[in-house]
Amino acid sequence: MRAASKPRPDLGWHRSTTRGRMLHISACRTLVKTMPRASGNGNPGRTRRLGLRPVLLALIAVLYVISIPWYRGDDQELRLLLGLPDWVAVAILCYALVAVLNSVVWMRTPIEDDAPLSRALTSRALTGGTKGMGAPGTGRPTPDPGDSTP
Amino acid sequence: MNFSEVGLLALAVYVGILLCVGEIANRSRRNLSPGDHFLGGRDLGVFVLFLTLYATAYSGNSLLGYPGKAYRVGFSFIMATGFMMAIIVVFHILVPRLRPAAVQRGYVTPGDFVRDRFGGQPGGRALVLAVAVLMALALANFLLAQLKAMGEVASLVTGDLIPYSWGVVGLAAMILFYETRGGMRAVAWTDAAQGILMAVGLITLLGWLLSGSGGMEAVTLEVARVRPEAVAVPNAIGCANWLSTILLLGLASVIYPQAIQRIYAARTGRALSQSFAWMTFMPLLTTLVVTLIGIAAIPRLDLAAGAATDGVMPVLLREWAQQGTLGQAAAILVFIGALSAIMSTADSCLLSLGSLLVRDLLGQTGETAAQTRMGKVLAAAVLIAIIPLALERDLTLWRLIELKMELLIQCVPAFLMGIHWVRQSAVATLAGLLVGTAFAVGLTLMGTPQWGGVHVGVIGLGLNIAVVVALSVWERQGIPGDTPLEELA
Repeated sequence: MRAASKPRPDLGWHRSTTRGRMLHISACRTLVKTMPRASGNGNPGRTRRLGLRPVLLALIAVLYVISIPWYRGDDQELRLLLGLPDWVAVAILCYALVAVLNSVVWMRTPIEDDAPLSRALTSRALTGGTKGMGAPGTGRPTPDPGDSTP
Repeated sequence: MNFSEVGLLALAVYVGILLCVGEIANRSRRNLSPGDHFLGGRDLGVFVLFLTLYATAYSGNSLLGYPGKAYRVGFSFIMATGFMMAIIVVFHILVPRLRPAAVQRGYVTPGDFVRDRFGGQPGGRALVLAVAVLMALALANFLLAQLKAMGEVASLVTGDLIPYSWGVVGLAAMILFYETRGGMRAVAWTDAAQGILMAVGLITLLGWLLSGSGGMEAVTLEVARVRPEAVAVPNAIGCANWLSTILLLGLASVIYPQAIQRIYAARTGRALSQSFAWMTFMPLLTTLVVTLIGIAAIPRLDLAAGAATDGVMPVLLREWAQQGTLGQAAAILVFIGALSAIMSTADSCLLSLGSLLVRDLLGQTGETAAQTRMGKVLAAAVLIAIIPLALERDLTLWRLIELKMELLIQCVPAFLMGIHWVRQSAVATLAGLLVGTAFAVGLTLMGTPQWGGVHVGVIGLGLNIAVVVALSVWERQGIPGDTPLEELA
């Protein structure tokens, strides 16, 4: 009920003389923009996936630390594992695990081209504005005032 | 036909294919804008994007420098697999935020981001210039290493029918031609073919080496007998160096201009994340393989220290070619694969260099054909200027990589911190960059490239970050109502 009191976006309804109201294509666009996004914050599945991401990245960092043979004295004799010095085999296994985990993290990283920009880029009071870069959403650079070429 | 003649024929066919691809790419262009030429119209799909990322990341250094380094230091160079993989891990800090900005704001070069983020602040223009200068120096350094490697491989594959100097000049001219004609499309398409050649060639070579040596265990025992220090566990300084190398190359490689431009050139963000998901496995198929090749060469070859060890791979291939027709064909395949890897990196460097010089150094940020033309001319001029240096053969490829990384890593705060930390200022970033660079370059020139195994570039980065944080916080303290430690965007 509370939502009904909020101002509604212009949904672009048209009154047709013969068939009543019909939905204009721009209305569809507006409607889509106002709906919770499938991959946005409103999707609990995505929240779970993003929650797993830092855990996997932390695990990758731990594997990197383990891959370095801090744990072995440099005066110990050669021990073989999988045909390699044991500390080399451990390092390779760590890197193989890093590859798997990192691949999983990338598959779970939705990079959306129309996602809101980082505050570091949008906070004009801090960045002092921009010159020669495109306006958000255009995908095209704005003309540089200093550029005299046609 | 002997090996040299077959090699010459294979090289001629390969170069012919590259020139055709350049021409086809030229006819596929949509317009003459910098976005179309330098970023392929921002339309690279998963397959081409993955292969161009792969072929660009694995270069002459990977194919010649890394086996040489593994041959010199032994098993501890297994760290190379870790640092190549670290690049794809560190991209998590940058890509999810940079990609939407690149699409929405129309970036073409790395400097476009720096200009967008810091350009309107006091000191912003100077920061853009400083970042551009460091990147241009690093790219020129990288290009130099590729030209040297091209000359070496061309001379070896043809048994000196094409001398080193002709290889450098001739292949540089080929790259200039197809890169100028086809831009990023030509570079990405040739990279795709080059990436496949490289991977197939390397895995075949490792298989031959291991089967001929009785397997990995026999190789390890033989290396331990011939050179015990090559299997020794690294001491504390060696371990510190291992971590430092992962940090140095993992962080600095993310700032490669050609890598950043591929983030911009992807068709969609999803294509980008899928490409990275595949790319993360490539160190196991490439870096690990070349490292094991270098190690397997220890009992087989007796090369002098220094630049001669960069010849480990070519010497092995010559040996392989003497095993019969099949070995000869396989060796030629690997040689051409190696040359592909080198040329694919060189062409990417040259393309990035052209755009960087025009947009970031000269400040021409529009989307006109004149800027594209200027980029091509400047890239050609730089290439011609570098060729005489490439004709000097004394510096090892590994040292060239390290010098470049000491410079590039100082740009890390401008990108990896700047895209997250709202309160980071241009002046602070510039001051940090200057302090870090002066420290790293100064100590390197004084003959102290490492302290306790840690690269001076990494220590310089620590100083750089400390200066950026301290100055940014101090600057914001003077602003009423501003909480200094309200940090992350």
